[in-house]
Parts: sequence; structure tokens; C-alpha cells
Amino acid sequence: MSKPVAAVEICAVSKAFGTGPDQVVALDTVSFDILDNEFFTLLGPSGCGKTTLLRLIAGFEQVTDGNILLYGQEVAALPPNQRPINTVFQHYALFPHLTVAENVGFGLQMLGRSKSEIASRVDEMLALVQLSAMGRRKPSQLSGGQQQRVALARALAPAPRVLLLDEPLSALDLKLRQQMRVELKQIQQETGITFIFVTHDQEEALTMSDRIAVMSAGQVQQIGRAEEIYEAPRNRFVADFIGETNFLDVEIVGRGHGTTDVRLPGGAVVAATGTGPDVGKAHVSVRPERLTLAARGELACTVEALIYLGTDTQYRVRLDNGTGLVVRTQNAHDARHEYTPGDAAALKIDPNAVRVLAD
Amino acid sequence: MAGMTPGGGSGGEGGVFAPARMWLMVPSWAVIGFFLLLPVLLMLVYSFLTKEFRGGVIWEFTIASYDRFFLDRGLFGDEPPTIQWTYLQIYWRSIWQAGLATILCLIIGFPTAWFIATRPPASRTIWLFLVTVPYWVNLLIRTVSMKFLIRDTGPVNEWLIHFGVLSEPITMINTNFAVQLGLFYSYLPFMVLPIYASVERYNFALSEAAADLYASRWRILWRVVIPAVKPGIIAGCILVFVPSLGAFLAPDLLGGAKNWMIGSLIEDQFKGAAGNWPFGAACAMVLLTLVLIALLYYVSSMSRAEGRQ
Repeated sequence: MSKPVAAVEICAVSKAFGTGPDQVVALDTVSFDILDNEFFTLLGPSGCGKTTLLRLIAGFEQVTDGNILLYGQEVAALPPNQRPINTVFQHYALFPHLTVAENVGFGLQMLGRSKSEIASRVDEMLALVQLSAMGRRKPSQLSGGQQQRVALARALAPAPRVLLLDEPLSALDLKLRQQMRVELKQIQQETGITFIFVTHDQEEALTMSDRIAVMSAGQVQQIGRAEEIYEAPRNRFVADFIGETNFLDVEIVGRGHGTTDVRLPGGAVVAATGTGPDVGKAHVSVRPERLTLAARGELACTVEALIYLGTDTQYRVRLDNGTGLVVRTQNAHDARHEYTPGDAAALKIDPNAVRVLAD
Repeated sequence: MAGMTPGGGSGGEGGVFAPARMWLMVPSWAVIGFFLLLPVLLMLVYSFLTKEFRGGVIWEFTIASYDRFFLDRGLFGDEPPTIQWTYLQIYWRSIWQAGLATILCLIIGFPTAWFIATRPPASRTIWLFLVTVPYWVNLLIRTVSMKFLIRDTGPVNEWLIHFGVLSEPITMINTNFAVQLGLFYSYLPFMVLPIYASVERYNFALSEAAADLYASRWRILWRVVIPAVKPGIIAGCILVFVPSLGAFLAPDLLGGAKNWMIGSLIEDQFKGAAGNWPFGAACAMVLLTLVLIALLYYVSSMSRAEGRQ
């Protein structure tokens, strides 16, 4: 296997807005690589700096410090119209006075391509997003989902090396969003273009991405494949932001091969994954579906509430030390609940599911 | 102007309140009817009446005023009719003067409006306020002071001589240039304000999208920005062109007798030495017809453009 090529290299990039006491640091010395042909997602809550990073890559903003390299070349000096990058904007930003076909052909026209080349490429792109019949319409005559597709076709038409997508699905309803996720992933695989996708929706990130960068407060908290981010969160923010989780206060008592021995509330010691502080108190994260209610287990608890959710049942339990936890159990076909509120029970923990957090 | 009203107003607004809203229109219709339509009708009637010596009219129907406007029948009215160029020339001069003033206002007004609309919201108010400051002073006084500024011994000439740009004063007063300056200065805010309103609503993401799709700054302006703010530009052009066409203060005070425009001609018929009310009314009717044709053309082209969308 050949060494993967970096499409975009973010090298110690910082971005601050304003000056003096009003200065807001949107990005704080961020560094990572986005690989060629990768579906890469920047995931984080609003204000985490993900959109700022996207705008820096597109060239709409200038870095305060650091470098951005595109296929090995520095792009700082290039204005947006000279970068081989195209963007799907959050609210599409379709040109209202141009038809759908003119919108899609705009980039090629600006690049000075011939009329016939533009026409055939526009047809090809409209077919790709299944809007072949809509070429003569104005954007205002299309539904939100159709406008979204036009924006995608317009950005893909010049065959950019990197496509930036700024929360493109946020304005669509749930069904359409789910459908577009599948289509976007398909288009990315068919075209082989590097996609950089910005979203605050973890489900979107988990379903489409090859790799995800979880961002918060202007910094990258963790980069990894969906499973890595979900199963092995590095710190409390990532564990909390992605999916549902339980936090437990533990004490570190020893270290094994790639594991950390932690003492759970109640005294049981398990070999958890991940590395935290060397000694003393730490936090661990345990996903609700990795806990099992049983007669005996590492943690004694009391069942407080039970919520039936169709595919599974969610139990709210409380440990003897007062910590509240959530447990999820897959429902069997007879949907019989073994435990009811008020019952005393215990939790069995799979040690692999206990993740020591960095903070 | 149709393009300036947000939402367009048609469709989806009927409902139970429609009859009540009709009544709300009554005062404005009454004002328009009494102070606009009625006087215009009166002028239309006057233009077909006979002139009375020293102003006023005799109630005798004639098309003499229109005949005099368009046809030359010699000094005693007994020669075969040829086209009367005197008044058409004044109209032609008015049209190109007004047109040129409109273009000047657009060239200066568009960047001004753009500048204001791209300031932070708080300071926009101040800039807009500054644009309207000249309107605190009466137009007559502003025009007269312009006359003092640009006359042969005025400060402009003196400065230019002082700094060695000129060796002797150039005559600016009583020229087309002076009229142009007066019109431009009087009507510039009418260009700035509607364009400002359009630019303020402009979605700047469209400029970013165009830049992202390899458009240069110049092409962003022509291909994306101007089409988007076109309603404001057209409204501004109408608001400058139409009053410029009928202006009489600037041409009268700054242009002198040789540079008359329509407004001066009409004013002279009613107030001045000519004292020919029917002819003045006829001149006004010709002007009104020109303006109406221009506006109807604009409205129909706008509605065609909207029909396409």
C-alpha cells in the first residue's frame, strides 16, 4: 500500500477576530492532515471553530498564524478564486437571477471553458444529482432539497480537488437528510474528490465520515474513525458530545499492558482502556449499552425509572454513592422487563467498555 | 419603484381583512385624487384652451398650443408648416442633461451606497444621516450658493489659480457643466438611498460563492452583485431622472438663458414674461407623456422579468 497523500495540511493554524480586549480566538494552533480521497468531517458545537477552519481553507478568511498546504503547496497567497477548491454553502447561496443550469455552469464559465464543454458537463452534473429536468428553472422554483442538490452540482461541476461542505444538510427535514447522507457518501466515492464536511450533527458525522475531527473551543479534541471516536473517546468533551454516556469517578490503582487498573465506586477494580493521570482520581466513560443489569455485578444500584424506546429499553439507575447512570438493554421479542423501578440490582461491566479520560 | 417593496404584496394577503384594508386606502386615494389627478386634468384642459393676454385662459377650445409646440408656421403664421425645433431642442437638451446627471449620480452614488451598506450596522445610521444633511437647507439656497462657488471670481476658480492649476479663471457659470453640477448635487441622495436599501439586503454569501467558483472581483460585480441590486439601481435612476427632467432651479440659476431645460420653459409660461398658460400646460403635457412612456416601459419590463422567474 502506497503512503497516503495529504490533500490539505493544517499546520499550527490560529485565527483570531478583532483586536485588543475584544479579541476572540476562533482557532488555537490547530494541526492535522486531511488525506486525499477522504471523507473528512469537522464535528463540534456551534462556535467551536469548525466553520472558521473551513473558511480558511476556502480562502474567505486569512490565517492569523500558521500555514495551510493544499497538495503540498502553500495557499496563503491565493485568493478564493484561484484555489482548486469548491464549496457547498450552508444556505446554498445559489444565484437567484440565473437558472439552475446557469448556476451549475457558472464555475466552468468563469474558468473560460467552451460553451459545448459547459453544456455537457452541466448535463452530467444535473444527472448526477437527479435534476436533469430542472435545468431551466430558477432556484426559487425549487424545493429546499432540490436547491441543496443544485448547490452540490454547482460545486462539483469544475471538478475541484477538494470539496468543502458547510452544514449542507442542516436546512433539510429528517427524511431528506438521511437520504442525502447516503447520496453524498456515494458521490464522494464515485468522484474520488476529497470531501471536508462541517457539521454539528454527530449522527451525520458518524454515518458518512472516513475520519472525524471533534472540535471544541478552537481546538481539535480528537481525530479518528467513527468507531475510535465513539468507543475510545480521549477526553470528557468527546465522550459527552458523541452519543450518550455515563461518567464515573474512579481511583487509579495500577497500570497494565495498555490498560489502567481503576477502582470503581463500591470498591471493585477493573482493567480499563485508555490512559489518564498516573495516580489519583480520574474519570471514566461507559456507554449505556455496555452496562448490563444483573443480580450480581461490579456496581450495586437501585432501578429508578424505565423508559421503553422500541428497539431498546432505557433504565435510569442510581449507585449507592448517589451517582445516576443510564443503562440500555436491547428488547427481546417478548419485551418483558426484568427490572422495575424500586428494584435493587447490580451492574455488570465489560472492562473493555470502561474508558479512562484524559481530563 | 415596484421592485423596492419587499414581498411584492400580491397573493396570499387577501383573507378576511381585505375589505377593511380597502377603506384604509381611502385617505391616500383622496389626497392623490385631489392634489394630483385633479390638477393634472385641469392642465390637460387648459392646454386645449385659448391664451388670454397677461395670463389666464379664455374658454375656447383650440389645439393652437400643441400646434405651436411642434410646428413652425413662420412669423405671421401663414407659411407652410415645418417642424418647430426650438422646443424640441429644449426637450432634447433636458433629456440628455437629465440622463447625464443620472449616470453621474449612479457612478458616484453606487460606491457611496455600497460603502454605507457594508459598514457595521451602528455606523450606517450616521452615514445615512450625513447623506440627508444637505436637505436641511432649502434647494434654492443650495443652488444659489453653488452659483457663488463656481462663478469666475468664486473660491473654486481662485483656489485653482492660487495652486497654479489655472492661469486665469475658467467660466463655469452659465454652462451645461454648471447645470450638470447643480442637478447632480440636488439629486444624488435619491440615487444613494434606494441602492443602499438594495445592497443592505444583498446576500454577501453570493459574492463568496462566485469567488469560490473562480470569478474575479470585477466579474463578481457584473455577474452577481449588479443583477441582485438592480431593482435599487433602477429605482434610483428613476428618482433622479424624472425630477432632473423637470428641474428649473438649477438650469435657471446656473445655466442662464442659453441652457434652458423643460422646467424653465414651463415656469416662464406661467410665472415669467411669456405668460401663456395654455402653452405652458401643453409643454407640461408633453413632458408628462414622455415620463409616462418611460415608466410604463420600465414597469412592463419589470413584470416581464418577474414573469420569467
